[in-house]
This record gives sequence, structure tokens and C-alpha cells, in this order.
Amino acid sequence: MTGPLATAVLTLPRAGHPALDLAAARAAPGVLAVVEAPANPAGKALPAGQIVAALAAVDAAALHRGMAALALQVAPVQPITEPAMPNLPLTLRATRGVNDPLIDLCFHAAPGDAADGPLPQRLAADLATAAGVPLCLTLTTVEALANLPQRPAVAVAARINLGQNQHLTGLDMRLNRQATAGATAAHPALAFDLPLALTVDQAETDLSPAWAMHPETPEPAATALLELALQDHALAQNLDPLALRLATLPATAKAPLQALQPGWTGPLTGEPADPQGRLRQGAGLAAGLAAAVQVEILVDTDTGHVLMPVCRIALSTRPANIAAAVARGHGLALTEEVAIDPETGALLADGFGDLHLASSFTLPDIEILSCAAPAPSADEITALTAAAILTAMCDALGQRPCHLPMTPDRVLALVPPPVPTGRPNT
Amino acid sequence: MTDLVLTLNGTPRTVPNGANLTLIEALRVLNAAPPALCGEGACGSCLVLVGQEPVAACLTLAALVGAAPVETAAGLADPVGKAVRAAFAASGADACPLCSAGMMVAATHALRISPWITDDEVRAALLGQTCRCSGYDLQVTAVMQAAAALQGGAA
Repeated sequence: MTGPLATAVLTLPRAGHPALDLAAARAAPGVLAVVEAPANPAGKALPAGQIVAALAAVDAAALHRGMAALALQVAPVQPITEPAMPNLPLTLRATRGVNDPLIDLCFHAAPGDAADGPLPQRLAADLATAAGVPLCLTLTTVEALANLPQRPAVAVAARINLGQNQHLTGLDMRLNRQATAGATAAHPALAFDLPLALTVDQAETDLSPAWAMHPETPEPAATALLELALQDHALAQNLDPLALRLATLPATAKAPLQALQPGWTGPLTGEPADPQGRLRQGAGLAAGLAAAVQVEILVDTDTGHVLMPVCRIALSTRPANIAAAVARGHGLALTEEVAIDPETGALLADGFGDLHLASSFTLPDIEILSCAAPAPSADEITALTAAAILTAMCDALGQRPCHLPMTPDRVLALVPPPVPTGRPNT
Repeated sequence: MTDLVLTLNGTPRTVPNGANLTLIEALRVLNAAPPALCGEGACGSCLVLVGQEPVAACLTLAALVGAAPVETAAGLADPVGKAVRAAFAASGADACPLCSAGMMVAATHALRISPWITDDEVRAALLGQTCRCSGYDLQVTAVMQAAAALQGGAA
């Protein structure tokens, strides 16, 4: 099989379904000709080397003689920015026959175009026509399922300043993160307004715009770090974490915390939940202007797995699907290891073996408490849930977790070594 | 290469050269395949019923199915399947084309065993199904609605 002969950029309009005009390809006898692509309105060709689809064309007799290959690259006109459902990078897989290797096609689809919508079917039909052979088309959507706005790598360092009466007077924060080329160094939205000295360093990569963080999205790593700093302070000063936050946070952020107060049992400080002391309990909190989340977790010190039996959320207006927001926060904090190739922006996880998603039993019944506060966004609940889980882990193990997600190997690294008991062998 | 005959949703269908295909590949040839996301049996999206038992079509050899009837989400036509499809449609749980087909098959299997089902039993039935977007409450509620409808019909 020869290599790709040409790169065609197919520009998909944001709304409606484009005419993927491969008429020229269809009309060409025998070997598939170079396909002329419509102009990219941005006037900017996509970077070379990002060939995401290669299609081998055969001659009219469907024989493997004089074959040419077509490389296709499909991109949206503009990034789709609805926070509720960012554009889905779907990978289409096409194969010419049972024994042929699969051909991966990648494009960004609008929500209505997902999976078995008309756009992929049209694309498949046109490609099949162009190739002159039937194509099987399947969809792999690990990327779609993993698609969250906060996925690019970020490192955060912070220092908090507490004034008299434990009042939080300042916050120094430094972010270093991956970003799409040309992205502005927007400040992350934190849960509340604070005097903030913030530095943002961005490493530009060829990340797909789909991976760019929505500017309004609370940065989960920054949210978690602030909560961990407060947790550290509470541990060091032997203060109740909720009482400390009530003393510390701006008055506007207190209503959700006060709603949580009646059911707050205080820190659990790794108290064993079983006679062997294998399961350690921890309670965690995270508070924002519009919501506060309390979780209790059990850390299995043998395996590093974490269970979350309690989740309480105080807010004014329940977002449409709060369980989904909590599930994403849980995945972000514990299970969804998503590495992105910094060179290509491609997702490195190649299946659900690498990317554990929440199952139907992962989440507890979520207790919702009402309070007078602005309406929270689902992204805010996600960030707060992840932060609450990390503070609970800090409570359970007495060590500060430093990674998102805290996968079992990272949890085990935090577990203090067992105190030797009994007589050593001689 | 040997042709293969599958009883798909009650109708015998011939898959040309189907003897060395997996079930999901054979269903694709018949243009009746559910979505298959992971291809490694982990996500549950390609769940179908073979002889009333749920199997991942991506991990099942079509030739091993034999004469057992194959049911996909699109072919759930008995009262239980219809109740499940109606409840998913009414609650919006069928909105996602990626996971809902497998969810409906899993739910139908559970409700055929008994419509008197608890919330936890529904969650257990959906344990092999992966959903990114819902947190599973939507689907569990839909299955419980289908169960209530079936119980009403049976009483």
C-alpha cells in the first residue's frame, strides 16, 4: 500500500451538515485523485503531519492494482464552546474488509452529530463511494467519553495568607499548564473572590481546541489545592475544618457551609472502619460561592482503592444532572487517568482499561441540602467534588495528595508503612 | 469462507463469509449493529441478548451463536422490551446514542427475570454498562418506571 498522496482539509460548518463533496473523487476513473478541499475560513491550514485519516482507494474492478491513498483531515470551523457539551472528538474506524487494518478517522462533531447521527453516516457513505468498496464504520469514543474541559496538564503551587481570626487575606498561586496554541493566559475561575496574586505559565501545544479549558470553568486543581491548604492548616492547628472555613472564607461563601454544618461529624482522621485497620475513614469539605460539598471516604490501605459512601451537597438550585457532575468529580479525583500526548494532542489512553469511568455503583445517594446562594454550574460541582475527595484523603491518611487523579498506586504511596509488630524472625 | 445464518430479532439473516467474524462484525454486515465503543468488552455498549443471555457482541464469535436467537436493542419487541424502550424515551435516558442501546438490553434482561426489582438490583444489572454523562440516575429511574408499568400490567 502506498503512502498518502495528498492531504485534504474538510471544513465542517458549525451548524447543519456539510456536503462532503467527493464528487471529483467519484468521477475519477480508477485511481482516486487529489480531493480539492474547501477553503478554511480562518485562512489557516492545519499543521502538516496531522493526517488523521488515510483511505486506500482501489480501481473500478476493486482490485489492488495501481492503488492510491487519500489522507483526510477534518476540522471544525470554530471550536464549539457550549460548556454543557463540548464538541466531541469522535474517532471513526473504517475498514475495507475483514482482513484489512482499520483506518482511523478523527473529526470534531457538534452534539447532534454524535455517533450514529447523519454526519458520520454521510462521511462513511462518501468515503465508501470514493473508495469504491463497502466500508464498515464503527465508532470508538473513549476520547468523547473522556472529554472534559479541564484535561490539559496543569501544575499549581499556592501559598495562603491567614490574618487575624484565621481570616483568609491572600492567596499566591502559580499555574503552569498546557494550552492550545494562541490561547490567552486566562485566570482560572476560583470558587470565590480573593485577593489573588496569580501567575499563569502556559506551554503551548498542538492540543485540539476541544481540550481547551472553558474560561468560566473553575480550575479543579486550583480549587483542590486551596482546599488542601486549608486542610493542612486545620490539621496543624488542630482546628475543625468546617469551623476554620467558616472563620476563613468571605462572608458571601458561608451559606452553603452553614447548611452542611448539622450533618458534619468533624474530621475522621483515618479512624479504622474495620477491626484489622485496613480501611481508613476520612471526611472532606470543599466550599465555593454557590455550593459546598462534603464527602466521606474509605481508603483501602492494602489496595489503594477509595470508596465514597457519603456525599452531601449544599446549594440553592440543583443543576440538571447533579449525579453526572459528582461522577465527573469522582473520576477526576480518583480514577480517570487521562494523559495527552504533548506533541500531537492525542489521548494516550487506548481503552477503558486505562480510563476507569464510574459505574452504576460508584456513587452513593447524594444528599442535597438547600441554602440561599447563587445557582452553581455543573462544572463547579465537579471541581468541588474532586477537591472534597482530596481533602478527605488528606484526613484519612494524614498526607497531602499531590496528583489528580489519585489512582491506587498514588494512594498507596501515601499510606504510612505499618508499624512492625511481633518478634522478628531470627 | 462460509456463510453464516443468524436469527436476528426473530428473522433468519445470512451473513456472507460470516464464519470468521465476531458477532458485532456480523451485525455490522447486516446493518444492525449497536455502537461498539471499546471493542474489548469493557464498556457494555454492544450488549445484545443471545438466547436470552446478555453478551458483549465484540467478544463473541458469531459462529458460536449457532441457532440461538439474537436480540439487539432495536429488536426488543416483547412487552418488557417495549416497556423499557418507552420508559427510556419518556425520561430522555435514550438521548445518548453511545450507551443507551446496551443499557436498554441490560435492563430488559433484568426485567424479564422479574419486574419486581429494587433500585440496587437495577444498578447491579447496569453494572457492566458505561455512561459518561448521566451518573446513572437517569437510567435507573427509567428502568424503575418500566418495572412499575410492567407490575401494573401484571397485577
